[in-house]
Amino acid sequence: MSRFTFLILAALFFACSSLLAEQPVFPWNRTPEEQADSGLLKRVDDWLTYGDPDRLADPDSTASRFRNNLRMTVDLAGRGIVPHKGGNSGSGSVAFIGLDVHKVFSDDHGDFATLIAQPYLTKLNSVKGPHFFEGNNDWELVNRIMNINFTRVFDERMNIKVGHFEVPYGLEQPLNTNGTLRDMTHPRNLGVKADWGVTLNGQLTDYEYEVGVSRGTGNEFFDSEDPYVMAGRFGTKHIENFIVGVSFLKGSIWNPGALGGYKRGLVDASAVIGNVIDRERYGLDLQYHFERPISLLAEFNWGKDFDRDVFNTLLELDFYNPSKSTMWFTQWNYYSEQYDADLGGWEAQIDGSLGWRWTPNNNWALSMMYVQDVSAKKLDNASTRLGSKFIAQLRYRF
Amino acid sequence: MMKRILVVKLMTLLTVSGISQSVQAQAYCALRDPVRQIGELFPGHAYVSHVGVVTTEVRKEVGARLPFTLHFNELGSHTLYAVAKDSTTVGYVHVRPEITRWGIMEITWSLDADLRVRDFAFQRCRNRRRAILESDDFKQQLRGKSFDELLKLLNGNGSNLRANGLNVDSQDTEFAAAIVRCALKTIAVTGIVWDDEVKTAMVLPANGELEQVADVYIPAVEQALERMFIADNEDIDRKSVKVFRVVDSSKKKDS
Repeated sequence: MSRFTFLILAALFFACSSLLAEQPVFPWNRTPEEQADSGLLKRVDDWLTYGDPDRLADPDSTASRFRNNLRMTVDLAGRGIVPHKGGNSGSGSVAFIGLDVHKVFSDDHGDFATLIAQPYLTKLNSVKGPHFFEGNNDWELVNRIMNINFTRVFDERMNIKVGHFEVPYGLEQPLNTNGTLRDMTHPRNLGVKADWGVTLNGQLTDYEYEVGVSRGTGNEFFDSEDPYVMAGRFGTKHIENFIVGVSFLKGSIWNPGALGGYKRGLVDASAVIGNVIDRERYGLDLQYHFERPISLLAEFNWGKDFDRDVFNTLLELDFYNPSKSTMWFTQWNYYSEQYDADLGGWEAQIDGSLGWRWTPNNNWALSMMYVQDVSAKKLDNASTRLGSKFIAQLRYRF
Repeated sequence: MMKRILVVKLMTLLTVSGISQSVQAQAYCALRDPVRQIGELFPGHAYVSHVGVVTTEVRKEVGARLPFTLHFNELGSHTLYAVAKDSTTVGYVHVRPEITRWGIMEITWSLDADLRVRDFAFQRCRNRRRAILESDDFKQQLRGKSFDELLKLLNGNGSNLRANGLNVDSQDTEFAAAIVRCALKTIAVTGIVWDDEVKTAMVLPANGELEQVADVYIPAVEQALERMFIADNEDIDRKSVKVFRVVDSSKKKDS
């Protein structure tokens, strides 16, 4: 609890300093001359942005070629989590230190590829993480997105992406929620958010698409039990105010947690062994952007986990201020599956959340979210207890 | 206790440290190149990206040239797409946001090599009148206009259109003014941040100004057309023909 209190106090300190102080701590209106040269971080910042001027003087040097069309940013974030369930509450936190790299490769004939690399050191403190963490206090190098998209093999209608990418499915594909508290359905609906493989992607006159084949293991690449994912999304173009997309996923996904959840819905789970879960999903996603800065998002998913029918839904309403520096959102998730008749047939878990994000400038982002279980699957007494969770995150990019 | 003091020190250090001007608030995996719009605005052309940093200095310079300036979230690394035909730069594509009461509007601008408006397309626009201002009737009024000509369309503080500035419905004047402001900022930022690239590709002299020729079909032109047997050619709508004179101010005589 003390860590959570500290996080709140720190957030209030920054907010008050920014809004009330005569010399705000967020100096977005100061000129470079007015900004104090404050040592090591400033020098790191300058190097990340501009590189070494002596080496860059030669346009044919390796440094020049590397720096050309490069964006490189250090991303630091701390996340505090306070769960509450059945009269028990505790607190945990997650720390992220990462590098966000975006590089466009060009030659005399134009651009031909785009590289994105996001290695993030992630440390859990009393928090249950995804399956690739070994315990609640482990740390791991997480490859959020790490791929190269070859953009001149054909034209904008078909590119080839190789590496670690977000599984192209549903709202996550056009929105991209990496590193934010707000999330779409990938973790619970698919059991994998980003994966190693290859996609074909492109933009047609009125439509866009991405179809991929990937390893099915998520953060790490291995072939035990031969997992795989085939997924794709076809949608109307993302620049419109009404966007519709259809998706599919077929795979055998390495996710021991999801398999454990599946087993709990079986009268006899002795025949289910291993760590992969066979999944099939068909999705419909909708986005409607109202004239005032309000957006309505929805995603409907039908499919199977092995032979069990599944129906999952997400509804979200977003409110922005005109400059988009503040965002409020409320998200409602409905996860249901058809268990054996002895266990009650169709059962659903429903949760609702209220979230807020404040980005006072391009460096800072403060987010908070409260999630409340509204209904739980009634498979056994333990699972009917409704829980809640409060999460806060402070993020700094430079 | 020592750990807590260390964390406070680290956070304070980060807060007062130099604030980078190159980052974007969103992660780079969310960046989308406007490839479809480049294809629509410059069909059949190749393009090359030039990433440049819009700094607070640039913001200040834009503010000196315009009665308004960039919003803080317009700072950071941005891309200018230089469009080429047969290895010659013929224009640019650049995406710039504009804050309106309908939220942030993002416009993909297409400029010619001399930074005049060629065309535009909305990348993000919630306004329900979007289709009206995306029509050719409205775009035609902006095509070919330079920075100075666009500036003359706005009132003193740039908040709205000058009377008779553009031919738009009265309910669209605020929306149209936002589009003109966005065009002005785009031209200003492009000229400042990508100065080297722009100067080498300019067709007109650096100090060149265009003056429209009021009377195109003067007797000498008519005679020349008659000599070429095309004086009665009806394939060209003469009313739509515009002729400009290039005035290189660096070569003007003092007297």
